[in-house]
Amino acid sequence: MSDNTIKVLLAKKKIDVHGRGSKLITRELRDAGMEVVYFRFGTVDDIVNAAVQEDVDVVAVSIMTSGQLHIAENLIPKLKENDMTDVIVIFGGTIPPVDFEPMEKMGVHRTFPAGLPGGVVADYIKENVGKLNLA
Amino acid sequence: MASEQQIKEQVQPFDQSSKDRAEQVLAGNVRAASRLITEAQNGHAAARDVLTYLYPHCGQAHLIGVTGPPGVGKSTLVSALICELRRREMTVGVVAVDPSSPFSGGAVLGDRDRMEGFSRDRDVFIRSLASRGASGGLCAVANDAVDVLDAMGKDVVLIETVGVGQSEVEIAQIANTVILTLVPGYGDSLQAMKAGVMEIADILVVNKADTPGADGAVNDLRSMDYYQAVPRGDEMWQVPILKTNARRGEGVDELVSEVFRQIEFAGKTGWKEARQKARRTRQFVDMLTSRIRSDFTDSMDKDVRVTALIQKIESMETDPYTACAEILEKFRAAYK
Amino acid sequence: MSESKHSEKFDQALAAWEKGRERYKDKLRPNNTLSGIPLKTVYTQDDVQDSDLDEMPGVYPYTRGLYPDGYALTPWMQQMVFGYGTIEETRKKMEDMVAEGMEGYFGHHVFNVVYDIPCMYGIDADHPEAEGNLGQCGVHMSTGDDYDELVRDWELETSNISMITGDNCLPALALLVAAAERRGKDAKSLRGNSMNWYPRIAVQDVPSWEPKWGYALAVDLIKWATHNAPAWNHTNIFMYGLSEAGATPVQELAYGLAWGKSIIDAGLEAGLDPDAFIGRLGFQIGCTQNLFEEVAKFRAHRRMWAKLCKDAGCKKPSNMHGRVHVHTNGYILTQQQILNNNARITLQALAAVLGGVQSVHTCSYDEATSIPTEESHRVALRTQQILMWESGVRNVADPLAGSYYVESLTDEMEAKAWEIFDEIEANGGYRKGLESGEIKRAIDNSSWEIKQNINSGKQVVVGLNKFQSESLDELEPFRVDMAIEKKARKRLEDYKARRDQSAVDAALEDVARACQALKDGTGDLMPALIDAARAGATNGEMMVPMREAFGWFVSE
Repeated sequence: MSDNTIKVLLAKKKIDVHGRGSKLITRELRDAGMEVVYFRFGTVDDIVNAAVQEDVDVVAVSIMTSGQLHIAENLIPKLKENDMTDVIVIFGGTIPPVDFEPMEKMGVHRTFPAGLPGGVVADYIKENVGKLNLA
Repeated sequence: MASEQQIKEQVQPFDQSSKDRAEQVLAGNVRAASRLITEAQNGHAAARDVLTYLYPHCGQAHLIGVTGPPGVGKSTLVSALICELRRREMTVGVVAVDPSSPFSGGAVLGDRDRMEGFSRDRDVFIRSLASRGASGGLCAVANDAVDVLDAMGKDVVLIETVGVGQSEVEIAQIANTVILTLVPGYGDSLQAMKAGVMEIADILVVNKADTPGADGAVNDLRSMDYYQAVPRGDEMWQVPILKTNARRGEGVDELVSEVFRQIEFAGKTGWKEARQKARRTRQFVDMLTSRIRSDFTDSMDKDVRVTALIQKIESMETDPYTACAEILEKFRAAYK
Repeated sequence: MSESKHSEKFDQALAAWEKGRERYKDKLRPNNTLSGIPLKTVYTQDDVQDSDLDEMPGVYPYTRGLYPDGYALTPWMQQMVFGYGTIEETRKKMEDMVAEGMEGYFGHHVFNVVYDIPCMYGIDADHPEAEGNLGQCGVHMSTGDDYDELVRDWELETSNISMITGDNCLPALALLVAAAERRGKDAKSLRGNSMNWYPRIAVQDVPSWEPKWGYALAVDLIKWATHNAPAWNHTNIFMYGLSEAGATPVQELAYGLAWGKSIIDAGLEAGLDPDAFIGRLGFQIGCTQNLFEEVAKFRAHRRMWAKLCKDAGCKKPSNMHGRVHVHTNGYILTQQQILNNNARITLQALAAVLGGVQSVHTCSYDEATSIPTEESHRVALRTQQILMWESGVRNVADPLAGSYYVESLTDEMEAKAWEIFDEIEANGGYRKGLESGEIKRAIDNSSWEIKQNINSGKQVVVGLNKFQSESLDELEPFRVDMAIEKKARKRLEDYKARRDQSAVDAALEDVARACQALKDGTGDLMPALIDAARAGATNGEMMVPMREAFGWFVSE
């Protein structure tokens, strides 16, 4: 399905504050030709529900005020429960690098630190869509 | 011009898994429905099979279009409509269409953001779609998604589109009730509307009712006396003008009541039937021409007859008009 | 060129200079400031010909500083932000910070306390959305008990308490007042800051009031404070939020002053006397590492604000003071090679101090990934203390005055900022820009441009797009134990069990009525909130009728 448009769900965790980074990523992904369902704040239930209804290829969670481990722990199993396994799950934002590995163990495919050059996230998605999933 | 493979796809008996998939959708399986919408949007033959099975089950849902210029609060209004419809114990599907960027092909689908609070509600299904520069306009994009939600058993399907391109007019070709949303204060709200757009409205809503000038806008619109003609009888539908504050859910109860009044009226006067017929006719013609077009353009490079003609056009031996007539002649002969 | 203004000696120097650079001058790459102002490589007396150099610190329009001798009288306040967990953890932190030498003016205490997000939203510990967010990145402070613990044993008249709330500013202030009263004091003893920063919604995508009510609530707080707490700084013009969202320094100036003007206008419209309330507005401004641009910005800011205050009718000089707290910009810190941030923070603090601001918070180097550890927080405080005690920078007021570069840059930033400011005012002012989303769009676009410049390498960020490392530093961040959540819920439970529930219920009904009165224009809200705080209502409970009355959503 490489010629099909990639659909991404991008949400900040609920509750949180401002999201300069998530707005920039959304724009970058759009400019890379992707369709981004962007909603500002979502609980794990909101995110899972939206991911299923929107049939996205990527679930992207933006974190600014911690909570990444707690959310990843709940998100991955809930996606699986809802039969959303052919999806890439990525996190990004103010997340300390020591958490990257624990999150990977929980099933998050990649965690991105803040401030990366544009296109890094888009390239990662393009390279991996259809190849990675939540088996 | 179609390859053997393509012809096979078109006339092969429908396989069992398509039927199963259709059954899943009819049973209300969200994942199955969601996947089907994606495949339909991507033009997969398998999706068409499933849709064929679903078609007899369509036509039950009330199709309500919500459109208007950017910034009037459509998504918030749709959210309020969902609340009110749920209060009346109806199940709801939403198809929200946003334009794709003509440069990158990507899109930001931000309507869902305004529709908070429904994630635990099994009976609300919200789907965002990008227009993908669809040459068939809004209909090409939304028709299938609407049918899937309809077949799933939703009582109401809301179709939301922003007033870009011709999408406001196109929405009238799918929906049985079109709500045109405006706001006061953005210049003269009447001037803000493009020519011909006012005519598609079955109901006019002035949102952000707490803005100064809202009452004035409502009065202005009332004085214009909009009507919709209907096929039977000498009745006309007088377009009601309503005021809402979507964020607070004010005026939405009345709006929904007006919607159902229009639905009833449309049923009694044959208007609904006429609209549905027009929709399906248009869908058929659009689909046919679109597929002929893509079949033709897909095989253009490999067909020596076509490439030869194109060379002749380039070398001025013939011209596009003559070349076209030549090919059409061949189609017509074959079709007989 | 009016050559007659040059001395012969200077003309000779100029000629020699031109000669000295002839061979390479065409190869020079011109540079701009962050705001896009083109820079020369050398500034001379010619560049300040039109500048007003006949200024003194402490004299209108205060370009050179608010006070005649700068920091010689009293240094800037070290107002380090802190706050996490429950009040117990934060209380300990307060005491630790005091012990580490964190000081305000004349050795007074200064506490810059940040609330957690549930409090900012007006959600108590028992609300489902609080889960996972309690005490993270801020202190959960919602009950009378919490506030009693906040003020326990501190001498209120010499303790400055800044409350970094969200939009729960009014309930938070009400709770503080009630706590002061329980100490046997009244609101007159209160020193500190309410953020009262609803207008930040112009650039922040967080839920908040409907614009009309956002301003009405701001005015309600101002009115109450003006009449009851004259030493309390009721409003904070949060320019920091603008730069964090993407504004360049000039944009930060322009939009920030427009924001300030919109508050002045709102206060005057409400019938307040300019000298009664304008003096208690304060500013919280960002600071990047772009040293001279920031210094020029702070100087231009004071000058511009003084003029706006004068135009608004202020007569008392001290009411025209643009009092500034600097929070060093977080967005410039990188996760990559995280210790590099120390150098950035040092430059930021230096710029602020050379710019003559009244108060500084220095971020910690690890804030690119989490809230500070004990150690990194201390290092940030020490950075300020080194500046204060070792660098000599505080010994002379406005030391960069007279610099051809800084004076001309100050003038130019002022001019550019007035241009944008005038455009905003012509379009209905900051308030209109907030409602229409204009301001958000302008600053989002600026944020985008900055990203593009960084992506392309045009703007260098060391460690990110130049001099990169293979891997990220694996520092163990500060973690707030999730057990805090249980503690916070227990505190709330115990508090509720002890109070008179019927009194609280009645008081909250009064709050609902007062909200309606505020909307009708027939009454105020703060008094009802203070009564509710006295009766034992919590932060979250007070916000319920407020959200109901004034709307609560993310604006476009």
